[in-house]
Amino acid sequence: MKYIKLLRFDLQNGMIRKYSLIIIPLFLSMIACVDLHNRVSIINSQGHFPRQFSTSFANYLGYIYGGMAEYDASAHIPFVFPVRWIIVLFSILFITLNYPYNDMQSVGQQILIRTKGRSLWWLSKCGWNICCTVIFHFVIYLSTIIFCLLTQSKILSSVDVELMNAMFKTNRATQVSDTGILPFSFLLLPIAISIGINLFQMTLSLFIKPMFSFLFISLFMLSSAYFMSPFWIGNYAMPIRYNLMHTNGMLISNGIIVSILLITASIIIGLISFRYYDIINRD
Amino acid sequence: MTFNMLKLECKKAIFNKFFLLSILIGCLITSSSLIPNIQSYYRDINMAKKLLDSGTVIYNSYGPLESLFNHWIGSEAISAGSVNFFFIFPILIAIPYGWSYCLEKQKGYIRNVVLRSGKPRYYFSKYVAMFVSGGLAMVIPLLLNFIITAMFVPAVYPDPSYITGYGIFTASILSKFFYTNPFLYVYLYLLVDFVFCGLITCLCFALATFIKNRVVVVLMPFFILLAFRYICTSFIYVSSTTVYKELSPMFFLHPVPPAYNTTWLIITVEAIIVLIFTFYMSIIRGIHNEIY
Repeated sequence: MKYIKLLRFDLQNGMIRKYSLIIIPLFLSMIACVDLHNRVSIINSQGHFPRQFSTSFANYLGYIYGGMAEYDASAHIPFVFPVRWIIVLFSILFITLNYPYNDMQSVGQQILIRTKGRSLWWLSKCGWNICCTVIFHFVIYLSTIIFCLLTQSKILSSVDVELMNAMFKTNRATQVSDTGILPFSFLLLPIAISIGINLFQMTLSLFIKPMFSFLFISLFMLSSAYFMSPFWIGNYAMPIRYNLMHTNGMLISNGIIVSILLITASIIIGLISFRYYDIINRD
Repeated sequence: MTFNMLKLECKKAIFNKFFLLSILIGCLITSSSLIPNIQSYYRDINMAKKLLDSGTVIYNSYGPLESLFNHWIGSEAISAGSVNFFFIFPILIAIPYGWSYCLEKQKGYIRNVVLRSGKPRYYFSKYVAMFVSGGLAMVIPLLLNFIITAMFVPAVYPDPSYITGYGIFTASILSKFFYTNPFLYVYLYLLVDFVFCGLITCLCFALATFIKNRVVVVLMPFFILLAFRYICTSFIYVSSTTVYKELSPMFFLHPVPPAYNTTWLIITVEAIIVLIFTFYMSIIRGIHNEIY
């Protein structure tokens, strides 16, 4: 009961009043949808492909969350970071960065005293963080559906692999298949990874200042785009690098395990370290 | 009096733990580019030496490519260190002093200072101090990388015959200097980086006039640049067959253009826009703002 009350308080203060949680994903997805719509029109008019491409809900999502094709430094081609993927994942990292820290500096101290324990406060922040991340991605999904309705694109459809390969300029040698379709359900893994990374950032903020924890996660995520390896967890948030689209790609099953482990470890480590955390005069 | 205030603010901006931390992080990132670049230099030199010794080749035709000017961090956009540094720099330059106005306003320090020195002096000194701290936070790790690379790799003058190996083409800014006086090219590019990064840091000051949260103020310039890049990618760089001009500071502050070449006009116009915005928001509006 106490937990529900705390979570309700956090959702009221840290989520409902946060308009950025609605406005930012709305803009990000709308820009990406317009971008893909234009690019598909250009590709279709150029006639470089044997067939005409069509846009759909799953294709839009694939374009937003896709990430980038494997980077090969030995080819001596400059690395250009995947700005769409980065801005989507970093925005929610930024939105959820400060609330727990600020809350602890203000009313949080009163709550901690009144609840007579620290675990519930931390678990409530974890719940709030997960809710914010889910809402953020839900707004992206919802605005993409709205865009599909406006442009009369298909909603119940699958990801067009050929279109994704064309958009992300994947290496032909590593493509699993040129043509084919994939269920859009595999696009849910980036959300799970996003939840895990957000929780990890919150846990990290207990040890270092929030801006440094953001800096650390940013470097980690960019390195994930640079190195295609299962050890760089950000790779599991890039559907274009999954084994369904890449010959040596990331296994989705491993991605699910990694995200569950990351979420659990972040919550538990945070829970333990928060017990010994000095909440007074942290400034 | 103005000079004293300026000296005090600059001292606060440079001699603080966040400045040192930012430089340290910057140097750590740039050093991760240093090691592979030096390794690649020695690997190539050894290979050339073996070929020369075996008599397979008469002379090392790739000699001009083994130069300091294409082995330091600014000359490549391939190593992880270079990629990370030129991605994360908007945060690194804001860390040293981007938060100061926010904190001083919050703690009431500003009231005491303004009482003694007056608003124009305080706001002007703060602006200059932020500018200097941001510029230095960007340039010091780059300069250090350049100097350390110079200890291992000779400063062979770039040969225009190997233009594709350097990535500095005729359309690139300062390309004439790169092939005639490469040291001047490096220093001028570092100056461009210093000025632009100084202005980007001043965005923190401008934003702090209406944002109360320090973390948001420090990270906001990074997101503004990221959003600008996102808009450029989505609406301007749409065709893969067209050669565009680089508009994003996240890319054109890199001495070797990772995507497109930029022009002086773009750099100047963007710098003027940022200067006017930051100067107006922080100094002109700041002077008229109520601080009590």
